Amino acid sequence: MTETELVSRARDGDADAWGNLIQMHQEAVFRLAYLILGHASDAEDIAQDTFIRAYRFLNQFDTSRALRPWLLSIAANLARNQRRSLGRYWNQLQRAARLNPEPVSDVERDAAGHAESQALWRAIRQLEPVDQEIIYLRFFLELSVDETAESLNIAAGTVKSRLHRALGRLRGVVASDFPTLRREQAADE
Amino acid sequence: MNDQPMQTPPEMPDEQEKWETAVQDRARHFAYPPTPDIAGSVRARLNPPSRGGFQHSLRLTLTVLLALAIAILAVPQTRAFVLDMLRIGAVRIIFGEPTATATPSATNSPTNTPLASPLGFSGETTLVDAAQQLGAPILLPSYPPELGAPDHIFAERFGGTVVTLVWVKPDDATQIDLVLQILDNQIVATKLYPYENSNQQLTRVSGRSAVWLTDVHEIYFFKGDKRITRRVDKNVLIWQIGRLTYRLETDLVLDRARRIAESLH
Repeated sequence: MTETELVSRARDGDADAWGNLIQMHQEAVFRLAYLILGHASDAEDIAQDTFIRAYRFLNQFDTSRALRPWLLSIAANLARNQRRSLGRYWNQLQRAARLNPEPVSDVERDAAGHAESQALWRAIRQLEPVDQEIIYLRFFLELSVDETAESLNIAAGTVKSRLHRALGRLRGVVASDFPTLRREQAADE
Repeated sequence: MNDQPMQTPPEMPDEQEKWETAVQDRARHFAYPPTPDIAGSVRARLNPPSRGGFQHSLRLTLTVLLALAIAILAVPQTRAFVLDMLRIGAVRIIFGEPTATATPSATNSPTNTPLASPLGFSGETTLVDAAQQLGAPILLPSYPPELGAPDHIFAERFGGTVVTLVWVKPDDATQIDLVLQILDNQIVATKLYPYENSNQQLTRVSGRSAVWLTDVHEIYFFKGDKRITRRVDKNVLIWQIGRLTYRLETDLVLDRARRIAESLH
């Protein structure tokens, strides 16, 4: 069954169809929320809320488009709102989280040798949210330029220019604040 | 190690391209936590999928917000500058600067309803019935080991359901030792919390955002046109799991309160 058929059935109240669509997209939604918020439990809550909200507004979804960018735009909005919702208290928490994001277990991290990816994530979290999101969508979730554009509701050309600027700023952050990452780069070279 | 070294500031177009490739490569190898079963949780939350239920919740929320606005204007202590608000699940905390110096009281307003039992809660029931009213299993703390089962269980409707578990002091059954309150997401409980010199702290319970309050304050629940007010003079830890919000009232310090909270099973 195609995604469009599943959406159509879900609109008619078919819970199994909606369940299948969730299975297809839950990983991307959860991962985006995790990247934005930095905590798996918060990301899980956001992912659930994303699919609940999408289900309630499914009639407004344009079935000529792919579902994933729409879901990711909802998830990004919810995650963004959560990050803002607790005002200055939440911001304090986020600042703390940015300095010390919830670690993936050391065993997992060491086993996979992903220390550089984690360091890169910490560097990205120092950027403005708008820069973070475009890097997450394009490079972490590996969306196409068109999908990224749909998720962010911007033109494809804007994706390219915004990404270019975000990468430039990221490079500056790595150069100034991540000497370890820089040393590892040098070792690679 | 990855084969595309990250390089520092770009000067040439190909340098920019290498940098982009390096970021892409690191991003591709990022280690995410395992994706939880979102589909199962969403199905449970949507079942029964009821548009009417949703509209009912919306009406309830609007009613509660209206009641809250009226209450804020009606209570001298809250006829004040609301300086900040914080919300954890079903609990809204208003940080205000009182304009009156009167001591908060549960009985100084005609709309207040006196507390129904010496312990301050109504609707005593059993764990099984409380779980049915809540529509979810009641999680109990396994820490400290000697805590045992709650001495009293209350379940009450305030738009949604509030389940209150009370443990009394071993040497005095009229004195509360510990309270664990579970609120479903159809409730908005409101705390009026002093702003100046207030002691509140953001923390985490099992990785979830939580708030720790240590000042005396009041909590309001709304039931029809009545307002139930409780004065809280213990430390309070508030956190949310899914659609349920938990409040733990205790004399213990934060670390031990958090251990209790994280021992729920």
